[in-house]
Amino acid sequence: MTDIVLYFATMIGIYTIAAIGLNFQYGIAGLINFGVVGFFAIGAYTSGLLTLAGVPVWAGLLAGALMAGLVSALIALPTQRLNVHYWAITTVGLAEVIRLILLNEDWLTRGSFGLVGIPRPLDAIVPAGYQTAAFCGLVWLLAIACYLALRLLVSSPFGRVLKAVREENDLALSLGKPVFSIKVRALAIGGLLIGLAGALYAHYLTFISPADFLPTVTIIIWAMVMIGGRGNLAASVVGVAVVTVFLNSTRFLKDVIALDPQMIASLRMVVIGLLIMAIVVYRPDGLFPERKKELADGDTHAGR
Amino acid sequence: MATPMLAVERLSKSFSGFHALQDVSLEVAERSIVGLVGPNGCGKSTLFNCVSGFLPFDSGQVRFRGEQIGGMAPHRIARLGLVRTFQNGHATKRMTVLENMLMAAAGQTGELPLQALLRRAAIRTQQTAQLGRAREILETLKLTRVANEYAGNLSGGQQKLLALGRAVMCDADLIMLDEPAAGVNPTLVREFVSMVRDLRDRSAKTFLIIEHDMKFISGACDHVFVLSAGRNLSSGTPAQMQRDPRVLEVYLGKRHAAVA
Amino acid sequence: MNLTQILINSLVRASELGLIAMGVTLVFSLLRFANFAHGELALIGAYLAYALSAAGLDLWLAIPLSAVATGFIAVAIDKALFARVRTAPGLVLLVASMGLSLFLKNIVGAIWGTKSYSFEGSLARSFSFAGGFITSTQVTILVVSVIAMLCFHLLLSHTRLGRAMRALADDSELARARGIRVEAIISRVWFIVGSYAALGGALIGLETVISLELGYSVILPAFAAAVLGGIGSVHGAMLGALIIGLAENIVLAIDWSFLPFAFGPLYIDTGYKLAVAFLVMVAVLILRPRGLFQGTSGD
Repeated sequence: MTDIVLYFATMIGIYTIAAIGLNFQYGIAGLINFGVVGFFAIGAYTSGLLTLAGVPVWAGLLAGALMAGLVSALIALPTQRLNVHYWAITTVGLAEVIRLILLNEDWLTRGSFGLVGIPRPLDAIVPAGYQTAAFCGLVWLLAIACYLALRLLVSSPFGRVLKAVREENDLALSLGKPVFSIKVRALAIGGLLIGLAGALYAHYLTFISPADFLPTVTIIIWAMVMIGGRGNLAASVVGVAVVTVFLNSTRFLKDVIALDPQMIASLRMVVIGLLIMAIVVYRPDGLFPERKKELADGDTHAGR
Repeated sequence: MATPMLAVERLSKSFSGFHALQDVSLEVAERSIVGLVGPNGCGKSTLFNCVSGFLPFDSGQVRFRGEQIGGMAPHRIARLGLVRTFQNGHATKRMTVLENMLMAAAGQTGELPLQALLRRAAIRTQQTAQLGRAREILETLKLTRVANEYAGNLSGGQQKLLALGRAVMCDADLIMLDEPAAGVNPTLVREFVSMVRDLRDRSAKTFLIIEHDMKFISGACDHVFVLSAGRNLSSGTPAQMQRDPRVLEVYLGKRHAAVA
Repeated sequence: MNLTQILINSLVRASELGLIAMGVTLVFSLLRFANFAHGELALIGAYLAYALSAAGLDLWLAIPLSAVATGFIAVAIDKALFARVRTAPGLVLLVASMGLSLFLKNIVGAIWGTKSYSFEGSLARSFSFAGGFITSTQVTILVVSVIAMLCFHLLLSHTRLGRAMRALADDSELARARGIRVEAIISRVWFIVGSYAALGGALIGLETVISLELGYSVILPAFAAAVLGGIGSVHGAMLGALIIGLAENIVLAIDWSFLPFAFGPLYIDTGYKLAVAFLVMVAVLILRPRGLFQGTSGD
């Protein structure tokens, strides 16, 4: 029983990091990133490959995050002047190219065989029996740290500029804000978190392959962000929990309903797709909309 | 003869064959309030966009305080001290009036992510000072009541006042207002005029204002440039323009055409 | 791989892509968003055609019927989803279309499962032609798409609907003011793009296999073709499709060993076919965002 709880807790923690990263890019900065899974994969493979080569796990995690952040910034540089639709298409393409590289460059990534035996951090220092719990604790420690850092950013002048860029791009320009550089930074920060989540994912499962990084993952993380509340970072954990529990609990449905498990898997995704569309039409701000920031004198970190 | 704060020389801009602006020139002296008028479609907004860097222009020169700003990115021009407002207000739907004001402040610490994370004490002090200044400005603009309202929920007139407030907050030297009186009730227009004059007299601000409302123009402006069909038509004091036969023809002539 | 074969393969690929890309560019310019679910319309068309032919219908009936059915499905989708957010900002439409693509793909998966299918009895005869080989299937594809595109060209230039579509693309406010019933036009456009995408999907299925990945595998090249041609220009999209088809085949066929860092023969793996379209698209977006054939603004 504890195993199942720990599994859910760890997965929710990992995806929360990715979700608040995406929510930062979309909910706060208004940038559409349809290539989330690509940065997730970069984090996973960077950390996986480095740690398999002997690098300590904490360095692998850091490297995974940094690599994903760097690629986010790099892709933003030549393309951020594009309108949101072209940018969305570009990110989709990028994620797919990343997956193709992971699949085809088997001299580096072992191709479709994937990486096996990725080391778990803490396994050396924690007695057996407590290792899964320890890892779960590590994930949540990092999740909370990331959340606090993002909250700090959002309630700072940087956060205000991001919101201005999100709402009225030209207004921000007319007041002297370097909108373009700001967008690159927002994407890099979100990318850092998504990469970290990917790295944690790799170390949790200890086995990853390109098949783990299909475009469906991007759509699932989007569903998590949209359901929780765009622009509301704390609410992302709710969205993550709802989707994770839903996706995993229906596995048990096949014992109750005599349906082919493949069909159940497809129907799960049908529901997720439906949820996204419903949210977009009926409640685009999600379950917990972004809260208004009421400022009083001497007030600095009120609000979210 | 002091360098004008803004000098536009023979600016031309066309869109796929349509000549929006042809050899337009104007000057705005420091601490003056200059009006830019003309019938609809004569190129006033295009001129604003070209001067403020939002639109590239084909030929001509724009100099701000003697420095060439043609081809500069809009945010760099704004940082030099030239701030423009927009006709449609660009009201932020999910940022409050105070957030707008704080955001508008120029040169603040904490707009870079690392600064935001590490220089928390400095940011706190800065925000207290900014809030004080913002509230002062909002008070003169009579927007104190709505300080914590989303900007998008304000009335049209209030949004225009907020735009002025932002420009003041960011320490702009030349404020370019795009139709500040449009959609504003007449009493508020009078107050707007006195606010603008006040800002010029007490805070040394310079203004270039696009307007259709002649009461605003005659009440506020020292000098007026009249455009017609993308070209300079005339210029002078508001009183002179109201008597200028060329100006009258362009305005009355249009009315005749509409009736026919 | 000889030049003739490359040309033949490129033309066939371009025909299939063009049918889908023209829909992408139309929706982008009329409804002002990039429709990520467009590939799934092709997917539906392929599966419906398969289902009809497996039920005994001749291919020449199954494919057109599936195109018509998908056309209606596209109209229904618009009414149920996009019409409700017609005035929403682009971000919203994009996210909605993303959810839609997941939804549609998995409905198909729920009904037909995840295995791939082939049209039965489609034994292709191979002809040698100017140094290369062309199959009867490929000839069919070329002929069908040329006819389809000609029909569309006639529709666009000689009918009231076509004129209304062009007016709407240029300026929807003005079009409305001139009395054009926008919603009716939009429905008709969805019918057209739905049926054309379905046709493209069925033809792809005819040439290769019918699998759940069909939608996803065409959406990027279709966007690339539409961007290349300039959003809003259907002729541009068709030319864009040709360029993408050529690019894919040429890039994969040539030996890149002339590059300074290559030692020995260097071929790009066919697994990278999608990457070619992506790179071409990014290059165009960076260098000439309005496309090669100046379409209307995609903003």
